[in-house]
Amino acid sequence: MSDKPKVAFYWCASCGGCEETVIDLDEKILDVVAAVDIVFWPCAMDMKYSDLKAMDDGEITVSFINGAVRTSEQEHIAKLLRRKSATVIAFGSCAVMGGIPALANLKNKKDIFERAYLDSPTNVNPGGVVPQEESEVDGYKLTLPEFFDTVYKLDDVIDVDYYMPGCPPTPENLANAVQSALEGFLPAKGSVLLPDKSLCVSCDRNESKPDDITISQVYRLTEVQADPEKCFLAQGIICMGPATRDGCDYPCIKGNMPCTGCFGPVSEADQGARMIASIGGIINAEKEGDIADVVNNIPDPAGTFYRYSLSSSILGNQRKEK
Amino acid sequence: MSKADLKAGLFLCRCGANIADFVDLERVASVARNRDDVAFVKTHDFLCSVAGKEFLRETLENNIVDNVIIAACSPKMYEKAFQKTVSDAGMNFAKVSMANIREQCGWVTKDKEDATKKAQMLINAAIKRSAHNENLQQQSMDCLTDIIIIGGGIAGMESAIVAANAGRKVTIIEKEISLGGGIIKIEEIAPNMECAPCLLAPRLSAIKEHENITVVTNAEVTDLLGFFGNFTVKVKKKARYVDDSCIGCEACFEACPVSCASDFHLGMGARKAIYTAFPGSVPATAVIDRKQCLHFTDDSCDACVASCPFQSIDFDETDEELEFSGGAVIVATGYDNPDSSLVKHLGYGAIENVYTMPEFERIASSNGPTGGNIQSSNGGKPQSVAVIHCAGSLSKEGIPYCSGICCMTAFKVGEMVRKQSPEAVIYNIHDRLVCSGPQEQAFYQKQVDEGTNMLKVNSLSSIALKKKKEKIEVSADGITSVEVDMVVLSTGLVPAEGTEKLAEMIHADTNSAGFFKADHAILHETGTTVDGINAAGCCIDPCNSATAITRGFAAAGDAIAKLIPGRKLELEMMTAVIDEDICGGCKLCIAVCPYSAITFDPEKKVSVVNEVICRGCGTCAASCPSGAATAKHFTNDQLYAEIEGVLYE
Repeated sequence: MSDKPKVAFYWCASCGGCEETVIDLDEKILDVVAAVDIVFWPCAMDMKYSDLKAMDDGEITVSFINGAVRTSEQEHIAKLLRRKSATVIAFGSCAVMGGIPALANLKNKKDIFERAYLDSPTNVNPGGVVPQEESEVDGYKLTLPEFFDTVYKLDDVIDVDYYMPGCPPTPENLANAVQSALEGFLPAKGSVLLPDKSLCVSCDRNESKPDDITISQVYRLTEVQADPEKCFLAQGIICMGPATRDGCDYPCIKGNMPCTGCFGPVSEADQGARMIASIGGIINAEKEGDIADVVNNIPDPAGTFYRYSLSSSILGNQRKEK
Repeated sequence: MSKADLKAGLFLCRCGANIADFVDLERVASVARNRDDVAFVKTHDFLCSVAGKEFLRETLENNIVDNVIIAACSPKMYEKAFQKTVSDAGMNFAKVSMANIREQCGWVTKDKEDATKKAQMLINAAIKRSAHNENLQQQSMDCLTDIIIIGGGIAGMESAIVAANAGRKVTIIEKEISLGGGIIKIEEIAPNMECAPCLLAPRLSAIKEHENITVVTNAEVTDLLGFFGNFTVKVKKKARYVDDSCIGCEACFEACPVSCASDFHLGMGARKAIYTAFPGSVPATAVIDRKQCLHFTDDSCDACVASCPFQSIDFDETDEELEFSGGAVIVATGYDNPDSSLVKHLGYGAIENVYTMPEFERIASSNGPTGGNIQSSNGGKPQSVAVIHCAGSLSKEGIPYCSGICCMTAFKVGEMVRKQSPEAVIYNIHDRLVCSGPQEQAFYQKQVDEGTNMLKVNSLSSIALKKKKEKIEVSADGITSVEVDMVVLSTGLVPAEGTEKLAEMIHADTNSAGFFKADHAILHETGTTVDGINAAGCCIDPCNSATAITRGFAAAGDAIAKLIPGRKLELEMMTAVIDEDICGGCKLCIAVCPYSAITFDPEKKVSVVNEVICRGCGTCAASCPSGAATAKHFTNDQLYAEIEGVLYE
């Protein structure tokens, strides 16, 4: 092995999108590879658990861990990587705040298993078999990792040094983070490696937003032709931009789609609660009933306001079955 | 020092028996004494008494603590007093947290055991919260002490005189050509039938002569900038074409060949193209009606120029843009009479001798089109008059509310007609009557005693008018039809034209009827929802002359009491702040701020709170999507700690 800094990538409960970000570095990945040794990257390269286990504590300069923590296996590897790494970066919204998988926290393990293995109309499961952590087949004991009742964000199970939300973070975000880490220009521990401002600060539609913005009706994207120049909120389309961290260069809005909030909250705010409070403030309604009329048209409130951040929400989870 | 090391001093008030009988204060004290974050616990019979406050001060001077918890009554009662005492002891006032163990505990929770537990929870919450209390500093600013009054009716005039007599420079901005508002168009004020011009004349001359009062008429407000203590009002003063050397001698009136309908007489009389509203108006200066004057229409006449003994005519005069500054603004824009379409169903406009109440007031006025001679269209004195109450009011299509003052005015019709034709028969046709207080009731009784027929109908909507030869037949469910020479429709009051536009301009709210919304309907009726902008007269809600004047007095008194020359304006301390490092400039706070205290800084791309205007309501902090806006003394840390304190031991 060379003396180059060592870098690891790992995925927990993840869609693979964050891995794509690494691939999307394009030719820049050659610079990365030239500067560092990638010592662990199960998604893309053939490395063994035993190799990782054999490394010295703190030997890895920086580990990028993406995905939420749903199973005991993910927790186990995360803890192992923590021990082997000088710096751990929670990479992507799932690792930072639960991400899409955390929407499962609206349900518990029992509900999910019943739906996935028993009730779903496409299932053929006459024996009513659901995954077991231990089972015997032909005299052999087989084990599966534990499926937790809750989807955790990474810092619920290990100490995290830095955070980089995004679904996924952009290749620029990653390149900047790698460079900063290698050059030792990282901010105070616990920081988010992105601007601490809301997306509106960058968005070129912000100028079209009136000072006295009000919403008299909420529209779904399928109901209206969104004006490509005008602030979505001013058009009655829920845009999470005001409650979402800047840093993505707003590709969705450039594509005439409102922000869904994947970069998570600004500062330490509860993203969903903040946005709900904001929307509540600008609904144009005389009577209580009018407010309900507007609010009831918001599609899938949990998925709209907490699409990526339920694990870090003050809402907590579905009550657990004991 | 970390938060965990902070120590609080806990004071328990027995409030005589008010708390002691309902809460086991000894147990509360002994539990609290064992806490690491409590330095001492002291109990007193009456902390709010002189001795109690002295005890508080002395204890704090002799025992240094980081925070003070006072478990007593509602903070609404004595929080300010305790804050003052704690300041006297050398601590910052914001280090006081109160736990309300009287109103929210002892008085409402019957079981002593439950009440004691609840008291402990509330005290725990206050202690937890106090660990996050930050020092707050009183801020103040220099302020202007002059007053700007929008509207020169009886209310605005009263405000002007009060403020001017207190030594303040006052500017009255009036949209009409002279002062007087609604009251100048009536003869006598019910129920005491006092002479309106006689009440008004001394006030008009007081204003005319007052060195502290500037009157700007024929003018409208185009913008209002600034905040309490420093307002700038922009005004467009329309050209009069007569300069203020004019004394209103009326010599030009005779010379002017143009005759047109007088708006002062509601179209019932004539005036010239150069005119004043009425003799003795303030200002006395005449005005030329540009639309009527032959000089302006076809350049064919300058008769007034030659007739004027003072060379006051100036055809070249132009509109002026003026600016006035002041510490406070008083809005006294009055009311309007409703559109005549509201009483069309009662024959108005179709049947002769059907008048609205304001028209009757003009007919009955000595400065009116008939010189005060109440007469029908044929010139004869009406021998029978029907007054229809609530015309156009109390209906969905019309004015939905009762204006509260029109019944008295409606009774006045009979009083005034009888004065000129003692044998005249009067009918007051009504559904509901409003006579509040002994004077109004007496006036009602007087009309009944003197022969007015009070006819109660079953429903206002059933009232119908029909022309019957020279007479008018009035019929309705529940009454026998009557035939009369004249009908007076008693209409209500609506917001003055332009109220909504003005409200928008000054960022004040209006109420459901469209009048200015009071800052507080009971505690501050003469304040608008904007700090430093008071309201007087009917622009808040319909009222009688006495109330209008009282409101004028109150609005001015409030303003001059808060803006003292040489004294700084103390600002709200618990304002909101927006962290510009976090704010993304999404502007949502600007939309929700009820005081228009937040503006957008386009250079920094952030929203900024003007702490002079901010009243610390916290709406922006609650609705800020990024958490950049926080309310001082009500931060998330403080609130979470308080909630935690209630939920966990």
